[in-house]
Amino acid sequence: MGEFLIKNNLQAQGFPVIESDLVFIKDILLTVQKAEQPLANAPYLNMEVPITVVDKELLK
Amino acid sequence: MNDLSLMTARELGKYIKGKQLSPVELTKHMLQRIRQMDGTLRTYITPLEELAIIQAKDAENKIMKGEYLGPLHGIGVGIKDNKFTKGIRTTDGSKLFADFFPSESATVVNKLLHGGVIMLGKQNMHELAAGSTGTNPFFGTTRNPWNLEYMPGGSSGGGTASLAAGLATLATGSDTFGSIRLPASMCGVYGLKPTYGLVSTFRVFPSAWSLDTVGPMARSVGDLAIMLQVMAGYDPNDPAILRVPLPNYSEAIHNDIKGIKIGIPTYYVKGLDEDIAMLFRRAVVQLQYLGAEVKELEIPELEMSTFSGYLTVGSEAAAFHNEWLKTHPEDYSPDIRSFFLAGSLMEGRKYVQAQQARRRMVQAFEKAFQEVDMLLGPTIPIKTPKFQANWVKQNLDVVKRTLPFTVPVNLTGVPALAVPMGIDSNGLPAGMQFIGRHLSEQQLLQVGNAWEQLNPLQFKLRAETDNKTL
Repeated sequence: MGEFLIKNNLQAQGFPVIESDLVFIKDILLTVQKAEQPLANAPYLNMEVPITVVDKELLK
Repeated sequence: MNDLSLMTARELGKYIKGKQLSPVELTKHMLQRIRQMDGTLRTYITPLEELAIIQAKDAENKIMKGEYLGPLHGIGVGIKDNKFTKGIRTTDGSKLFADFFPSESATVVNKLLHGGVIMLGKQNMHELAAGSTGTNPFFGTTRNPWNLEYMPGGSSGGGTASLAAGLATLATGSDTFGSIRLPASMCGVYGLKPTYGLVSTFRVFPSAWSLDTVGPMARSVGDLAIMLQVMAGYDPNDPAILRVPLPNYSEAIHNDIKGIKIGIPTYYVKGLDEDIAMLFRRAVVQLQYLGAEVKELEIPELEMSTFSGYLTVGSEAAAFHNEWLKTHPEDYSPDIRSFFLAGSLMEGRKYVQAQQARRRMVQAFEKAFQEVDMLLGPTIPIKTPKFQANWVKQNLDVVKRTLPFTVPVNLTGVPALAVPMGIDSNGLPAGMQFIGRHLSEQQLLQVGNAWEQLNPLQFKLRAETDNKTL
Protein backbone atom coordinates (compact mmCIF):
# COMPACT_ATOMS: atom_id res chain seq x y z
CA MET A 1 0.00 0.00 0.00
CA GLY A 2 1.43 3.37 -1.03
CA GLU A 3 1.35 6.55 1.00
CA PHE A 4 -1.68 7.90 -0.89
CA LEU A 5 -3.80 4.85 -0.06
CA ILE A 6 -2.53 4.72 3.51
CA LYS A 7 -3.61 8.31 4.01
CA ASN A 8 -7.00 7.69 2.40
CA ASN A 9 -7.69 4.58 4.46
CA LEU A 10 -6.69 6.25 7.71
CA GLN A 11 -8.85 9.28 6.99
CA ALA A 12 -11.75 7.01 6.09
CA GLN A 13 -11.49 5.51 9.56
CA GLY A 14 -11.45 8.96 11.14
CA PHE A 15 -7.76 9.15 12.06
CA PRO A 16 -6.01 12.49 11.76
CA VAL A 17 -3.02 11.92 9.50
CA ILE A 18 0.43 13.31 10.22
CA GLU A 19 2.26 13.36 6.91
CA SER A 20 5.66 12.48 8.38
CA ASP A 21 4.22 9.19 9.74
CA LEU A 22 3.31 7.86 6.32
CA VAL A 23 6.78 6.66 5.40
CA PHE A 24 7.01 4.68 8.66
CA ILE A 25 3.55 3.17 8.30
CA LYS A 26 4.38 2.17 4.74
CA ASP A 27 7.58 0.47 5.91
CA ILE A 28 5.75 -1.50 8.62
CA LEU A 29 3.10 -2.67 6.16
CA LEU A 30 5.82 -3.66 3.71
CA THR A 31 7.54 -5.69 6.44
CA VAL A 32 4.27 -7.50 7.12
CA GLN A 33 3.70 -8.09 3.42
CA LYS A 34 7.13 -9.68 3.03
CA ALA A 35 6.62 -11.72 6.19
CA GLU A 36 3.45 -13.18 4.72
CA GLN A 37 5.38 -15.22 2.17
CA PRO A 38 6.18 -18.20 4.46
CA LEU A 39 2.44 -18.79 4.88
CA ALA A 40 2.49 -20.18 1.35
CA ASN A 41 4.60 -23.04 2.72
CA ALA A 42 1.94 -23.91 5.32
CA PRO A 43 -0.63 -25.98 3.41
CA TYR A 44 -4.25 -25.92 4.58
CA LEU A 45 -3.56 -23.21 7.13
CA ASN A 46 -7.17 -22.13 6.62
CA MET A 47 -8.31 -25.41 8.19
CA GLU A 48 -6.64 -24.61 11.51
CA VAL A 49 -8.82 -23.32 14.32
CA PRO A 50 -7.33 -19.93 15.21
CA ILE A 51 -5.72 -19.54 18.61
CA THR A 52 -8.12 -17.72 20.88
CA VAL A 53 -8.03 -16.74 24.50
CA VAL A 54 -10.72 -19.08 25.77
CA ASP A 55 -12.46 -17.00 28.32
CA LYS A 56 -14.39 -18.29 31.32
CA GLU A 57 -17.19 -15.90 30.36
CA LEU A 58 -17.60 -17.93 27.16
CA LEU A 59 -17.77 -21.25 28.94
CA LYS A 60 -20.40 -20.48 31.58
CA MET B 1 29.11 -7.31 53.90
CA ASN B 2 29.53 -6.45 50.20
CA ASP B 3 28.09 -3.40 48.45
CA LEU B 4 24.40 -3.52 49.38
CA SER B 5 23.29 -2.07 46.08
CA LEU B 6 24.72 -4.95 44.06
CA MET B 7 23.88 -7.87 46.34
CA THR B 8 21.14 -10.29 45.34
CA ALA B 9 17.84 -10.55 47.17
CA ARG B 10 18.86 -13.99 48.44
CA GLU B 11 22.05 -12.57 49.95
CA LEU B 12 20.29 -9.56 51.46
CA GLY B 13 17.41 -11.70 52.68
CA LYS B 14 19.70 -13.82 54.85
CA TYR B 15 20.97 -10.73 56.65
CA ILE B 16 17.48 -9.22 56.97
CA LYS B 17 16.01 -12.45 58.32
CA GLY B 18 18.93 -12.73 60.74
CA LYS B 19 18.29 -9.15 61.90
CA GLN B 20 21.84 -8.21 60.83
CA LEU B 21 20.59 -5.75 58.21
CA SER B 22 17.91 -3.16 58.72
CA PRO B 23 15.41 -2.80 55.84
CA VAL B 24 15.32 0.92 56.64
CA GLU B 25 19.10 1.26 56.25
CA LEU B 26 19.03 -0.82 53.07
CA THR B 27 16.20 1.27 51.61
CA LYS B 28 17.93 4.54 52.49
CA HIS B 29 21.07 3.26 50.80
CA MET B 30 19.16 2.39 47.63
CA LEU B 31 17.27 5.70 47.57
CA GLN B 32 20.51 7.63 48.01
CA ARG B 33 22.03 5.78 45.07
CA ILE B 34 18.94 6.49 42.95
CA ARG B 35 19.23 10.21 43.81
CA GLN B 36 22.91 10.19 42.82
CA MET B 37 22.71 8.26 39.57
CA ASP B 38 19.24 8.39 38.13
CA GLY B 39 19.45 11.93 36.80
CA THR B 40 21.64 10.43 34.09
CA LEU B 41 20.30 6.90 33.78
CA ARG B 42 16.56 7.75 33.97
CA THR B 43 15.51 4.33 35.16
CA TYR B 44 12.63 5.68 37.27
CA ILE B 45 9.70 7.84 36.20
CA THR B 46 8.37 8.24 39.74
CA PRO B 47 10.71 7.38 42.62
CA LEU B 48 8.72 6.67 45.81
CA GLU B 49 11.07 7.87 48.56
CA GLU B 50 8.52 8.58 51.30
CA LEU B 51 6.45 5.47 50.66
CA ALA B 52 9.56 3.28 50.49
CA ILE B 53 10.73 4.49 53.90
CA ILE B 54 7.26 3.90 55.40
CA GLN B 55 7.20 0.38 53.94
CA ALA B 56 10.77 -0.27 55.15
CA LYS B 57 9.89 0.83 58.70
CA ASP B 58 6.85 -1.43 58.64
CA ALA B 59 9.01 -4.33 57.43
CA GLU B 60 11.56 -3.66 60.14
CA ASN B 61 8.87 -3.59 62.85
CA LYS B 62 7.38 -6.84 61.66
CA ILE B 63 10.74 -8.60 61.45
CA MET B 64 11.78 -7.42 64.89
CA LYS B 65 8.51 -8.88 66.22
CA GLY B 66 9.28 -12.19 64.50
CA GLU B 67 6.76 -11.73 61.68
CA TYR B 68 9.13 -12.45 58.77
CA LEU B 69 7.10 -12.74 55.56
CA GLY B 70 9.65 -14.54 53.38
CA PRO B 71 12.65 -13.95 51.14
CA LEU B 72 11.29 -10.73 49.60
CA HIS B 73 10.59 -9.08 52.95
CA GLY B 74 12.40 -5.76 53.11
CA ILE B 75 13.85 -6.03 49.59
CA GLY B 76 13.67 -3.04 47.21
CA VAL B 77 11.75 -3.62 44.00
CA GLY B 78 11.20 -1.41 40.96
CA ILE B 79 7.69 -1.56 39.50
CA LYS B 80 7.39 -1.12 35.75
CA ASP B 81 5.09 1.83 35.17
CA ASN B 82 2.48 -0.14 33.25
CA LYS B 83 1.31 -1.83 36.47
CA PHE B 84 -1.43 0.00 38.34
CA THR B 85 -0.48 1.21 41.81
CA LYS B 86 -3.32 2.51 43.96
CA GLY B 87 -3.08 6.27 44.44
CA ILE B 88 0.34 6.39 42.73
CA ARG B 89 0.82 7.81 39.25
CA THR B 90 0.88 5.09 36.60
CA THR B 91 1.87 6.39 33.16
CA ASP B 92 2.50 3.35 30.97
CA GLY B 93 5.46 5.45 29.84
CA SER B 94 3.03 7.65 27.91
CA LYS B 95 1.96 11.28 27.88
CA LEU B 96 -1.60 9.95 27.53
CA PHE B 97 -1.52 8.74 31.14
CA ALA B 98 0.82 11.32 32.64
CA ASP B 99 -1.81 12.22 35.27
CA PHE B 100 -3.41 8.82 35.82
CA PHE B 101 -3.72 7.77 39.46
CA PRO B 102 -5.40 4.33 39.64
CA SER B 103 -7.94 3.51 42.32
CA GLU B 104 -6.62 -0.02 42.72
CA SER B 105 -3.37 -1.87 42.24
CA ALA B 106 -2.49 -4.64 39.81
CA THR B 107 -2.86 -8.09 41.32
CA VAL B 108 0.86 -8.72 40.84
CA VAL B 109 1.72 -5.54 42.76
CA ASN B 110 -0.53 -6.62 45.62
CA LYS B 111 1.10 -10.05 45.65
CA LEU B 112 4.56 -8.51 45.90
CA LEU B 113 3.44 -6.16 48.66
CA HIS B 114 1.98 -9.11 50.58
CA GLY B 115 5.41 -10.69 50.19
CA GLY B 116 6.87 -7.71 52.03
CA VAL B 117 8.70 -5.87 49.22
CA ILE B 118 9.66 -2.22 49.38
CA MET B 119 8.46 -0.28 46.33
CA LEU B 120 11.39 1.93 45.37
CA GLY B 121 9.50 3.55 42.54
CA LYS B 122 7.68 3.31 39.24
CA GLN B 123 10.17 2.49 36.53
CA ASN B 124 10.77 3.93 33.12
CA MET B 125 9.81 2.00 30.04
CA HIS B 126 9.54 2.31 26.30
CA GLU B 127 6.34 4.21 25.65
CA LEU B 128 3.23 2.03 26.01
CA ALA B 129 5.43 -1.09 26.18
CA ALA B 130 5.43 -1.08 22.39
CA GLY B 131 9.10 -0.55 21.53
CA SER B 132 12.47 -2.17 22.10
CA THR B 133 15.04 0.60 22.63
CA GLY B 134 14.13 2.45 25.85
CA THR B 135 13.73 5.88 24.27
CA ASN B 136 11.05 7.96 25.93
CA PRO B 137 10.62 11.58 24.81
CA PHE B 138 8.09 12.29 27.57
CA PHE B 139 9.83 10.98 30.69
CA GLY B 140 13.44 10.83 29.54
CA THR B 141 15.34 8.13 27.70
CA THR B 142 16.87 5.39 29.83
CA ARG B 143 20.61 4.89 29.32
CA ASN B 144 22.51 1.64 29.41
CA PRO B 145 24.73 1.65 32.55
CA TRP B 146 27.42 -0.30 30.67
CA ASN B 147 27.85 2.65 28.29
CA LEU B 148 25.57 5.66 28.30
CA GLU B 149 25.74 6.02 24.51
CA TYR B 150 24.03 2.66 24.07
CA MET B 151 20.40 1.68 24.50
CA PRO B 152 19.22 -0.42 27.46
CA GLY B 153 16.56 -2.14 25.38
CA GLY B 154 12.87 -2.15 26.01
CA SER B 155 10.26 -2.01 26.88
CA SER B 156 11.27 -2.94 30.46
CA GLY B 157 14.58 -1.07 30.06
CA GLY B 158 14.13 1.04 33.19
CA GLY B 159 14.03 -2.13 35.24
CA THR B 160 16.98 -3.88 33.64
CA ALA B 161 19.14 -0.74 33.65
CA SER B 162 18.31 -0.18 37.33
CA LEU B 163 19.44 -3.74 38.09
CA ALA B 164 22.68 -3.33 36.15
CA ALA B 165 23.42 -0.06 37.97
CA GLY B 166 22.41 -1.26 41.43
CA LEU B 167 19.40 1.05 41.65
CA ALA B 168 17.04 -1.81 42.50
CA THR B 169 17.54 -5.31 43.86
CA LEU B 170 14.64 -6.72 41.85
CA ALA B 171 12.42 -5.40 39.08
CA THR B 172 9.13 -6.30 37.46
CA GLY B 173 8.77 -6.52 33.71
CA SER B 174 6.19 -7.37 31.11
CA ASP B 175 6.77 -9.20 27.86
CA THR B 176 4.50 -8.99 24.80
CA PHE B 177 7.14 -9.41 22.09
CA GLY B 178 10.35 -9.54 24.10
CA SER B 179 10.09 -6.70 26.60
CA ILE B 180 11.64 -8.66 29.48
CA ARG B 181 14.18 -10.73 27.57
CA LEU B 182 15.53 -8.11 25.19
CA PRO B 183 16.48 -5.45 27.76
CA ALA B 184 17.74 -8.14 30.13
CA SER B 185 20.15 -9.20 27.39
CA MET B 186 21.25 -5.65 26.56
CA CYS B 187 21.87 -4.84 30.24
CA GLY B 188 23.49 -8.13 31.27
CA VAL B 189 20.85 -9.27 33.76
CA TYR B 190 18.35 -12.13 34.03
CA GLY B 191 14.69 -12.07 33.01
CA LEU B 192 11.94 -14.66 32.91
CA LYS B 193 8.98 -14.49 30.54
CA PRO B 194 6.58 -16.96 32.20
CA THR B 195 4.02 -19.25 30.61
CA TYR B 196 1.04 -17.24 29.35
CA GLY B 197 -1.51 -17.03 32.17
CA LEU B 198 0.84 -18.03 35.02
CA VAL B 199 1.11 -14.46 36.38
CA SER B 200 -1.96 -12.23 36.52
CA THR B 201 -2.13 -9.29 34.13
CA PHE B 202 -5.14 -7.78 35.93
CA ARG B 203 -4.75 -3.98 36.08
CA VAL B 204 -1.64 -4.00 33.95
CA PHE B 205 -1.98 -1.75 30.91
CA PRO B 206 -2.57 -4.05 27.93
CA SER B 207 -0.29 -4.03 24.91
CA ALA B 208 -1.75 -7.07 23.11
CA TRP B 209 -4.05 -9.14 25.30
CA SER B 210 -3.33 -12.51 23.73
CA LEU B 211 0.44 -12.11 24.16
CA ASP B 212 0.89 -10.06 27.34
CA THR B 213 2.79 -11.64 30.23
CA VAL B 214 4.24 -10.23 33.44
CA GLY B 215 7.48 -11.58 34.89
CA PRO B 216 10.48 -11.07 37.16
CA MET B 217 13.87 -9.53 36.38
CA ALA B 218 16.94 -9.77 38.62
CA ARG B 219 20.73 -10.06 38.86
CA SER B 220 20.54 -13.79 39.52
CA VAL B 221 18.44 -16.79 38.58
CA GLY B 222 17.88 -17.58 42.24
CA ASP B 223 16.23 -14.21 42.67
CA LEU B 224 13.97 -14.84 39.69
CA ALA B 225 12.81 -18.04 41.39
CA ILE B 226 11.86 -16.41 44.69
CA MET B 227 10.19 -13.55 42.87
CA LEU B 228 8.17 -15.81 40.58
CA GLN B 229 7.02 -17.78 43.62
CA VAL B 230 5.31 -14.65 44.91
CA MET B 231 4.11 -13.21 41.58
CA ALA B 232 2.52 -16.36 40.09
CA GLY B 233 -0.84 -17.83 40.93
CA TYR B 234 -4.57 -17.79 40.36
CA ASP B 235 -6.45 -14.51 40.15
CA PRO B 236 -10.23 -14.58 39.67
CA ASN B 237 -10.06 -11.13 38.08
CA ASP B 238 -7.93 -12.31 35.15
CA PRO B 239 -9.93 -14.23 32.53
CA ALA B 240 -6.76 -15.71 31.02
CA ILE B 241 -5.19 -16.91 34.28
CA LEU B 242 -4.24 -20.54 34.76
CA ARG B 243 -5.49 -22.48 37.76
CA VAL B 244 -2.52 -24.77 38.37
CA PRO B 245 -0.55 -25.85 41.44
CA LEU B 246 2.72 -23.96 41.78
CA PRO B 247 5.92 -25.94 42.33
CA ASN B 248 8.67 -24.68 44.60
CA TYR B 249 10.67 -22.82 41.97
CA SER B 250 13.82 -22.77 44.12
CA GLU B 251 13.71 -26.45 45.06
CA ALA B 252 15.60 -27.98 42.11
CA ILE B 253 17.57 -24.94 41.17
CA HIS B 254 20.95 -26.32 42.25
CA ASN B 255 20.56 -29.66 40.45
CA ASP B 256 23.09 -30.27 37.71
CA ILE B 257 22.04 -30.37 34.07
CA LYS B 258 23.80 -33.55 32.97
CA GLY B 259 21.76 -35.25 30.28
CA ILE B 260 19.38 -32.37 29.68
CA LYS B 261 18.54 -32.25 25.98
CA ILE B 262 18.75 -28.83 24.38
CA GLY B 263 17.61 -28.17 20.82
CA ILE B 264 18.88 -25.30 18.74
CA PRO B 265 16.40 -24.36 16.03
CA THR B 266 18.30 -23.49 12.85
CA TYR B 267 15.93 -20.48 12.65
CA TYR B 268 17.84 -19.01 15.61
CA VAL B 269 21.30 -19.15 14.06
CA LYS B 270 20.49 -17.34 10.83
CA GLY B 271 21.35 -13.69 10.27
CA LEU B 272 23.34 -13.22 13.47
CA ASP B 273 25.79 -10.38 13.96
CA GLU B 274 29.30 -11.87 14.03
CA ASP B 275 29.78 -11.19 17.75
CA ILE B 276 26.46 -12.79 18.62
CA ALA B 277 27.31 -15.85 16.53
CA MET B 278 30.70 -16.23 18.27
CA LEU B 279 29.35 -15.77 21.77
CA PHE B 280 26.52 -18.19 21.07
CA ARG B 281 28.86 -20.86 19.73
CA ARG B 282 30.99 -20.51 22.83
CA ALA B 283 27.89 -20.77 25.04
CA VAL B 284 26.84 -24.00 23.36
CA VAL B 285 30.29 -25.50 24.02
CA GLN B 286 30.06 -24.44 27.66
CA LEU B 287 26.62 -26.03 28.03
CA GLN B 288 27.99 -29.27 26.60
CA TYR B 289 30.82 -29.02 29.13
CA LEU B 290 28.15 -28.81 31.85
CA GLY B 291 26.67 -32.06 30.58
CA ALA B 292 23.85 -30.90 28.32
CA GLU B 293 23.18 -32.84 25.13
CA VAL B 294 22.81 -30.37 22.28
CA LYS B 295 21.31 -30.97 18.84
CA GLU B 296 20.09 -28.84 15.96
CA LEU B 297 16.42 -28.84 15.00
CA GLU B 298 14.45 -27.67 11.99
CA ILE B 299 11.25 -25.85 12.95
CA PRO B 300 10.11 -24.28 9.67
CA GLU B 301 6.88 -22.99 11.24
CA LEU B 302 8.95 -20.34 13.03
CA GLU B 303 9.26 -18.56 9.68
CA MET B 304 5.65 -17.41 10.21
CA SER B 305 6.57 -15.59 13.44
CA THR B 306 7.17 -12.16 11.96
CA PHE B 307 3.84 -12.11 10.12
CA SER B 308 1.93 -13.48 13.07
CA GLY B 309 3.71 -11.21 15.54
CA TYR B 310 3.16 -7.97 13.68
CA LEU B 311 -0.46 -8.82 12.93
CA THR B 312 -1.26 -9.78 16.50
CA VAL B 313 0.55 -6.93 18.25
CA GLY B 314 -0.47 -4.33 15.68
CA SER B 315 -4.15 -5.26 15.54
CA GLU B 316 -4.69 -5.74 19.27
CA ALA B 317 -2.79 -2.56 20.20
CA ALA B 318 -4.69 -0.61 17.54
CA ALA B 319 -7.98 -1.80 19.02
CA PHE B 320 -7.00 -0.64 22.52
CA HIS B 321 -5.76 2.75 21.28
CA ASN B 322 -8.39 3.37 18.61
CA GLU B 323 -10.10 6.37 20.22
CA TRP B 324 -6.96 8.00 21.63
CA LEU B 325 -5.26 7.79 18.24
CA LYS B 326 -8.15 9.89 16.89
CA THR B 327 -8.42 12.38 19.73
CA HIS B 328 -4.83 12.67 21.04
CA PRO B 329 -2.47 11.70 18.21
CA GLU B 330 0.12 14.23 19.41
CA ASP B 331 0.41 12.34 22.70
CA TYR B 332 2.17 9.45 20.93
CA SER B 333 5.75 9.32 19.69
CA PRO B 334 5.92 8.98 15.90
CA ASP B 335 7.24 5.40 16.08
CA ILE B 336 4.48 4.17 18.36
CA ARG B 337 1.75 6.09 16.55
CA SER B 338 2.92 4.70 13.21
CA PHE B 339 3.03 1.15 14.60
CA PHE B 340 -0.53 1.37 15.93
CA LEU B 341 -1.90 3.13 12.84
CA ALA B 342 -0.35 0.42 10.70
CA GLY B 343 -2.22 -2.00 12.96
CA SER B 344 -5.44 -0.14 12.16
CA LEU B 345 -4.87 -0.91 8.49
CA MET B 346 -4.32 -4.64 8.98
CA GLU B 347 -7.20 -6.75 7.72
CA GLY B 348 -9.34 -8.89 10.01
CA ARG B 349 -8.82 -11.87 7.70
CA LYS B 350 -5.08 -11.60 8.14
CA TYR B 351 -5.41 -11.30 11.91
CA VAL B 352 -7.25 -14.63 11.87
CA GLN B 353 -4.55 -16.14 9.62
CA ALA B 354 -2.00 -14.99 12.17
CA GLN B 355 -3.87 -16.92 14.87
CA GLN B 356 -4.01 -19.99 12.62
CA ALA B 357 -0.26 -19.71 12.13
CA ARG B 358 0.11 -19.53 15.92
CA ARG B 359 -1.60 -22.91 16.26
CA ARG B 360 0.85 -24.38 13.77
CA MET B 361 3.72 -22.94 15.81
CA VAL B 362 2.31 -24.37 19.04
CA GLN B 363 2.08 -27.78 17.38
CA ALA B 364 5.63 -27.45 16.06
CA PHE B 365 6.97 -26.60 19.52
CA GLU B 366 5.10 -29.55 21.05
CA LYS B 367 6.70 -31.82 18.47
CA ALA B 368 10.13 -30.36 19.22
CA PHE B 369 9.63 -30.90 22.95
CA GLN B 370 9.12 -34.62 22.28
CA GLU B 371 12.77 -34.68 21.14
CA VAL B 372 14.38 -32.20 23.53
CA ASP B 373 13.75 -30.74 26.98
CA MET B 374 14.17 -27.15 25.89
CA LEU B 375 15.22 -24.93 23.03
CA LEU B 376 18.01 -22.37 22.94
CA GLY B 377 18.84 -19.37 20.81
CA PRO B 378 20.32 -15.90 21.08
CA THR B 379 17.75 -13.53 22.61
CA ILE B 380 18.25 -11.17 19.69
CA PRO B 381 20.41 -11.44 16.55
CA ILE B 382 22.10 -8.06 16.91
CA LYS B 383 24.64 -6.43 19.18
CA THR B 384 23.30 -3.81 21.57
CA PRO B 385 23.02 -0.71 19.36
CA LYS B 386 24.26 2.79 20.04
CA PHE B 387 21.56 5.46 20.13
CA GLN B 388 21.21 7.21 16.77
CA ALA B 389 19.97 10.74 16.09
CA ASN B 390 17.11 9.41 13.96
CA TRP B 391 15.54 7.59 16.88
CA VAL B 392 12.10 7.14 15.32
CA LYS B 393 13.48 5.13 12.42
CA GLN B 394 15.92 3.35 14.72
CA ASN B 395 13.15 2.27 17.07
CA LEU B 396 11.16 0.73 14.24
CA ASP B 397 14.28 -0.88 12.75
CA VAL B 398 15.27 -2.47 16.08
CA VAL B 399 11.78 -3.97 16.41
CA LYS B 400 12.03 -5.28 12.85
CA ARG B 401 15.37 -6.98 13.55
CA THR B 402 14.59 -8.38 17.00
CA LEU B 403 10.89 -9.31 16.98
CA PRO B 404 11.46 -12.47 14.89
CA PHE B 405 13.68 -13.80 17.71
CA THR B 406 11.55 -12.78 20.65
CA VAL B 407 7.93 -13.11 19.55
CA PRO B 408 7.75 -16.90 18.88
CA VAL B 409 7.67 -17.44 22.63
CA ASN B 410 4.77 -15.03 23.04
CA LEU B 411 2.85 -16.42 20.08
CA THR B 412 3.03 -19.95 21.53
CA GLY B 413 2.56 -19.03 25.20
CA VAL B 414 5.63 -20.94 26.39
CA PRO B 415 8.12 -19.66 28.99
CA ALA B 416 11.62 -18.39 28.22
CA LEU B 417 14.53 -17.43 30.43
CA ALA B 418 16.95 -14.77 29.19
CA VAL B 419 20.49 -14.98 30.55
CA PRO B 420 23.69 -13.08 29.75
CA MET B 421 25.99 -15.00 27.40
CA GLY B 422 28.94 -12.63 27.22
CA ILE B 423 30.28 -9.22 26.29
CA ASP B 424 30.43 -8.10 22.66
CA SER B 425 33.30 -6.30 20.98
CA ASN B 426 31.82 -2.93 21.97
CA GLY B 427 31.92 -3.94 25.62
CA LEU B 428 28.12 -4.36 25.88
CA PRO B 429 26.34 -7.49 27.14
CA ALA B 430 24.62 -9.97 24.87
CA GLY B 431 22.13 -12.63 25.90
CA MET B 432 20.53 -15.90 24.99
CA GLN B 433 17.19 -17.49 25.84
CA PHE B 434 16.23 -20.94 27.05
CA ILE B 435 12.73 -21.78 25.80
CA GLY B 436 10.72 -24.45 27.59
CA ARG B 437 7.44 -26.26 27.22
CA HIS B 438 4.39 -24.81 28.97
CA LEU B 439 4.83 -24.54 32.76
CA SER B 440 8.46 -25.70 32.68
CA GLU B 441 9.74 -22.67 34.60
CA GLN B 442 11.29 -24.87 37.28
CA GLN B 443 13.50 -26.64 34.74
CA LEU B 444 14.41 -23.40 32.95
CA LEU B 445 15.53 -21.92 36.26
CA GLN B 446 17.60 -25.03 36.99
CA VAL B 447 19.47 -24.77 33.68
CA GLY B 448 19.76 -21.01 34.03
CA ASN B 449 21.28 -21.35 37.47
CA ALA B 450 23.84 -23.87 36.23
CA TRP B 451 24.71 -21.46 33.44
CA GLU B 452 25.00 -18.54 35.87
CA GLN B 453 27.64 -20.42 37.87
CA LEU B 454 29.97 -20.05 34.87
CA ASN B 455 29.86 -16.27 35.37
CA PRO B 456 28.88 -15.65 31.75
CA LEU B 457 29.82 -11.96 31.73
CA GLN B 458 33.46 -13.06 31.88
CA PHE B 459 33.17 -14.10 28.22
CA LYS B 460 34.46 -11.04 26.42
CA LEU B 461 35.12 -10.41 22.75
CA ARG B 462 37.74 -7.80 21.96
CA ALA B 463 36.85 -4.99 19.59
CA GLU B 464 39.19 -6.41 16.98
CA THR B 465 37.54 -9.83 17.53
CA ASP B 466 40.93 -11.49 17.47
CA ASN B 467 39.54 -14.87 18.38
CA LYS B 468 37.70 -15.81 15.25
CA THR B 469 38.42 -19.48 15.65
CA LEU B 470 35.66 -19.93 18.17
